[in-house]
Amino acid sequence: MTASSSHEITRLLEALWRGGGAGEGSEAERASERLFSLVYAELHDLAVHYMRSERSDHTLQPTALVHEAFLRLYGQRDTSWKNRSHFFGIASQAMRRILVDHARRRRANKREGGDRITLDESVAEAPQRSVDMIALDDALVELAALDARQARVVELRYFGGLDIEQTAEALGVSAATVKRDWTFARAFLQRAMDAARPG
Amino acid sequence: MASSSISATRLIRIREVFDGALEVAPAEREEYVRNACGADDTLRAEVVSLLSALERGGDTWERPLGALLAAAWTDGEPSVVGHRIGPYDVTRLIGYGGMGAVYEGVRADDQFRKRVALKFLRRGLEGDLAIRRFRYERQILANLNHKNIAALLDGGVTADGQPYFVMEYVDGEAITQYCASRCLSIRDRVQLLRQVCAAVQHAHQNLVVHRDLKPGNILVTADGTVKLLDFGIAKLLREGEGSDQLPMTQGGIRAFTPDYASPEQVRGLPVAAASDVYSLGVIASEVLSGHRPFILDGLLFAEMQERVCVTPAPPPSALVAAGDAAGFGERSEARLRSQLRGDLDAIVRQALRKEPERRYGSAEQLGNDLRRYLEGHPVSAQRDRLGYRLGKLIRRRRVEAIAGVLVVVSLVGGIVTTTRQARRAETESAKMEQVNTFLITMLSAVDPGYQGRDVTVAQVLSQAASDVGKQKLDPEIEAAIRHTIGQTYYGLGLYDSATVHAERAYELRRRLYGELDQRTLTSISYVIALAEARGAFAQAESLARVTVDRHRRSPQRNPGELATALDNLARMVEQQGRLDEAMQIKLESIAIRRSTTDSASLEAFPYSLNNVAVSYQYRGEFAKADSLVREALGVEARVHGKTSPNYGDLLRTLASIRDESGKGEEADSLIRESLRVLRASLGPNHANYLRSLNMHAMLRYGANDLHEAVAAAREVTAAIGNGLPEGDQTAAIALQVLGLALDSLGQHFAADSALRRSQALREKYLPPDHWLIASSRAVTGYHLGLMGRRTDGEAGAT
Repeated sequence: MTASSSHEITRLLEALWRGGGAGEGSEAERASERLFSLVYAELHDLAVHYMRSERSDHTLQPTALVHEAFLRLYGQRDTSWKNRSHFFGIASQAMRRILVDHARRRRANKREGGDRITLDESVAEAPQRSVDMIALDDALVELAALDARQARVVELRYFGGLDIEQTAEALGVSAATVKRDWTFARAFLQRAMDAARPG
Repeated sequence: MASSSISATRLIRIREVFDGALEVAPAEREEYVRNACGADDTLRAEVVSLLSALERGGDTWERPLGALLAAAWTDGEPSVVGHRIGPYDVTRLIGYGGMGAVYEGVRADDQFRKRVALKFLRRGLEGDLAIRRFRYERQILANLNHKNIAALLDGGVTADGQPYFVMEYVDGEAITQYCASRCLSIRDRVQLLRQVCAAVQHAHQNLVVHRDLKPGNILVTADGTVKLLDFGIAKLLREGEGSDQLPMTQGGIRAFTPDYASPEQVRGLPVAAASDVYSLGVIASEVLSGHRPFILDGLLFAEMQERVCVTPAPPPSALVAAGDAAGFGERSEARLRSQLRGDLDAIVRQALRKEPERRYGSAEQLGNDLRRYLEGHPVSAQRDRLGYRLGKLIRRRRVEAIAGVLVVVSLVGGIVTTTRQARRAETESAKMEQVNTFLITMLSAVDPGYQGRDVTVAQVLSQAASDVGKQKLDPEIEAAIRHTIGQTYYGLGLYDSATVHAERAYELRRRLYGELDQRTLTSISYVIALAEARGAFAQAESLARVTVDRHRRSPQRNPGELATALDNLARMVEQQGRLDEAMQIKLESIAIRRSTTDSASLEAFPYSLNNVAVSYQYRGEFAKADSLVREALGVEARVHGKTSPNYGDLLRTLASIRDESGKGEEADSLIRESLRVLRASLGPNHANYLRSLNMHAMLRYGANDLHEAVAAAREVTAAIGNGLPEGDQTAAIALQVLGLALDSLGQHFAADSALRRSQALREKYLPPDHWLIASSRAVTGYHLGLMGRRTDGEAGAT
């Protein structure tokens, strides 16, 4: 991460919060997209870095990645909750997209019979029951259509690795609300995913 | 379990039982759910399956994602730049859209090397849903053929199975940038906006709602042609096209840009063409002033929602800031503001109304107003304001004045029709333009929808009223002004002041135009309404008889207006307790309306039918009531369609009739339909929606579906003092239903506060000897008995 992109992220976050002036509508929008791709890239770099340094997958946790990405991208200068919340929101979405895209690619490869067995794959097929990301994503889309906040809770908790309090802070609701949302959403998603499971 | 069939409101109910179940001990859950769901087996099945899913999930959800993450990072995504796709050479990546990448390409077999845009579905997005949406956009584009919409040229599937389509390449700038970089004048900007309206209108005519209009999707080419792009989240209005299965969200991000999203989009409600009209309003505001009406960046979702759904949008002239003038080629901000003030402010404001039904009915109407502005003609947004505001005030008062849940639709019709006709008559006279200008200026200072305080309306009115007295005005103008002042006072409930002006206006007009003139008749209808409002029913009746008589004698006898006059007379007679006589008069009115085809009378016809139906219902003649309401529904469906608010209200009347005649299940499905219609057309905080919801609560209580009764009643009572006026009987009834249902669930303390509040509301708003107060006391007594506080109960029942 170079100093210039660290500077850029500061500017982008601040631009987003300040809001645009005359004719800057599309600039704010570009800022948001740019921010997403920066966060995505940073998360990617971090993950690759961790894997190259051959740490075990336990260190490769969303929480750690997201927090470290935030520190690297935004530095210690401003830790206002609004900036953090916004950043975590974006990072959680990036995580979700990364995981879901990957799952879709894997499925597509399998369909073509060209299923490559990589080191990562074997890690992914660890003895624990694996989560069907595609079914989860579909279910989450369905849930979001019914109650957007519940879906956001899942994104922040599951993909962003935030705890109940951090999630509550990011969404501006009470911890009790997040807890109830999280419980219901889990039931909803689990049921949808079980229904999607073949056999 | 087909969970996709759940609606958002249903989810709330499911959730309530689910949350409740988790609060009781595991052993008691099954019983709790059974009780909570009552006869609603589907609800019970839903909750049970969710509870068991929660158990199955176990700790899966707390499991680290690390391994999956590691795998995900290492897959790269190859670029297609430099490859040939079909007959196209891909030359560069333009950017990423919501669904995937957009590349620039040229047709390889074409000597002119025509540039195209190739849109790919993002790799990895081959899920059914994504493909469906992608194909869907392609289908929509294929159906649209308009010079202001980027055309679809081709489409297909790549060798490795990835769908793509090819569009006209638009070399242009976003409309806001285009205007800014060329310092376009207001008139030039309005011209561009007209092109945008034309494109959107074309889409709407093809039953496509864009849903994501924003400057980034509206490009302007070097020669000044507007091109609309990206129908990625568009929706077909037609039913049965499979479009409804497409969720509006994607990847957890709402698939629209909040800055340009309509209140209904932000709320997650169904959107129609009016939603695009709102987005056009935001874009117009930005193009005309350089600023959007709201700055939403950096807000929490709830704050953003509040801003979009509640806060009135400032007009463009108020958005102009220091230093903006140069960007419009103007010398000063003051000059810029003065160009926007008036028509353009009014046009934008009408597009930005919070309630979809109050916006322009179509992009075409918005475009027409922009054209009229350019041509110097009066714009409809301005004409509508006075009439609407008065109409709204009148309607509000009338509705408040009427006790009872079911009658609310009924009495409004006559007055509204009269106002509309009055407006038509008045616009014929050129002199009235001045009058309107005077009044509009006077009232626009206190537009309740804009600045907000009715108190000030009264203050301004009293100022205007004394001005009228002092100035030597042309009698025609004085009459019109007094008439309007009278209407407005009436709307504010200041009946004595209103009467002074209305009677004076009537006198003047009678002398000026004669007794049979439309304007005189309009005036007298207000004098009657005021007499009624003051409780002077005998006076009102005799005036109403005079009016009926005049309509019968009128040379250009208008059956619709005679029918309206008869309806008014019937009401006065009814108020004095002569119900049979009133019924005869109403039947005559209905007979007249049945035989006319004039559209104005047809509009009011459902009200007349509803009125008579309610009278029959009170007498217990359900079959007659039923058939009249069904006739009313038929007429309403023909005149306004099956999604109009009136249609929803009529469904409620029918539900109550069916309920009273012992057909509970039919009532149940009717009220659900009513809820659906009213929620879509009026929103969840509108009094009429809440009336239906209240009825639903009553029906569920009657069916012993106590949890749903409680949930529905709670939703109604939460809106008291907000969407639902405190004095409205629906408020007291909903509190009563809530209390009774809670009592049945054994939650006596919660019931206690609801029932006491219900009784207190009635005591506050009804005359002391009203039977409803006695009824409330009886209910409270019954409830206190249940609570075991018998002494109190006995005192309460006496």
